[in-house]
Amino acid sequence: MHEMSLAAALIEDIVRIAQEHQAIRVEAVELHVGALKQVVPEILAEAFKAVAIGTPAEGAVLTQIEIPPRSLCQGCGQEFVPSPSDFLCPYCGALSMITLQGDELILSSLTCATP
Amino acid sequence: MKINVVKNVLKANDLVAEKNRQAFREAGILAINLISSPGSGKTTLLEKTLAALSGRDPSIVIVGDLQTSRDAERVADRAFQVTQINTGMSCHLYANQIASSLPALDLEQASFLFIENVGNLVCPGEFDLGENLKVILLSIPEGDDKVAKYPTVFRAADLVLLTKIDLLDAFQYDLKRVESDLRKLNAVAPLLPFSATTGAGMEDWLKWLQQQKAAKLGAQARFISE
Ligand SMILES: Nc1nc2c(ncn2[C@@H]2O[C@H](COP(=O)(O)OP(=O)(O)OP(=O)(O)O)[C@@H](O)[C@H]2O)c(=O)[nH]1
Ligand SMILES: [Mg+2]
Ligand SMILES: [Zn+2]
Repeated sequence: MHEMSLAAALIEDIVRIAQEHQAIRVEAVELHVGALKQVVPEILAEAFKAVAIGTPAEGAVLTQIEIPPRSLCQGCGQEFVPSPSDFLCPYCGALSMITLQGDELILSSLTCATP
Repeated sequence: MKINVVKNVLKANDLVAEKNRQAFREAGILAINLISSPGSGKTTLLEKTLAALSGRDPSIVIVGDLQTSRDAERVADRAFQVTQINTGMSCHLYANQIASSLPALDLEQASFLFIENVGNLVCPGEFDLGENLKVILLSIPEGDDKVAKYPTVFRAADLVLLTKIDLLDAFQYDLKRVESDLRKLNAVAPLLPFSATTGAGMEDWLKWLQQQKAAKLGAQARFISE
């Protein structure tokens, strides 16, 4: 449900970056979405389409690249892939509170048309 | 032209949240973000808590709801100050909404700031408001499988209140399951059974609040003297 807020924040960044580069139109946007982020890709895509209307990013193609989760066990020092509801280390059973990746939402590139 | 960037989309919210946190630190107030599904007992908890704290610890409440100021009215006579934020379509509070509320509030005169977030177990977990602590309420009627179904808020929790514990016998409910699901996500957050109806857990909750306040003020005193 908060995909609308995320899309609004995203479009603000995109418009600003496009302006800084004197771009007239944004054709494509690439986003890294952590698998632990509670984002539904289809809803985010729809929200993005809606908030982009009337901005230089209207009609831009949004590509969402999923980043798999990774955790570091403080108990034994091993890295492992947690499930969203289970951060127990498969090697020693300790609970890891360190998430190395998978909870990010990062704008990674824009493809723009310049005058 | 391809422009490569590395831009955290929530950066703008996080920066405002950090400013809020600094305002709380300077005022010496402890800010607590209350998160739960609709109807798990957030406002009822506040009514009871404010009554117990009154006199000793004046407390400020910021309530977020899609519509109405009913929750603000329910706590108005027991709180030191209350602000209602109507979020309209938004299913969570933003750091910005808290920041806009702060100038009208006398943070320095109060011990606690309780922020009742919009009833929702998903979205509020994604938006830092600048709070010091997150308290998640999970009521018995919601069922014993919710920790694993909504893991993100429980991983971020500083305390989990198992509310409406007076209703335990009316439901098929496995307390051990809740505990074991929580311990796959969160090593430290205590799981505290609570009932606003019977008063069960009230003393432990108030004790926890005082401990957190003392810990925060202690840490701040150390920080200043260093
Ligand atoms: N049996 C029982 N009922 C409770 C308890 N705490 C709250 N309730 C009832 O649960 C209902 C919802 O409580 P609220 O405090 O309004 O819940 P809330 O989380 O603030 O709800 P929203 O703000 O709408 O998300 C009310 O009818 C309360 O009387 C409790 O400890 N035991
Ligand atoms: Mg309420
Ligand atoms: Zn391990």
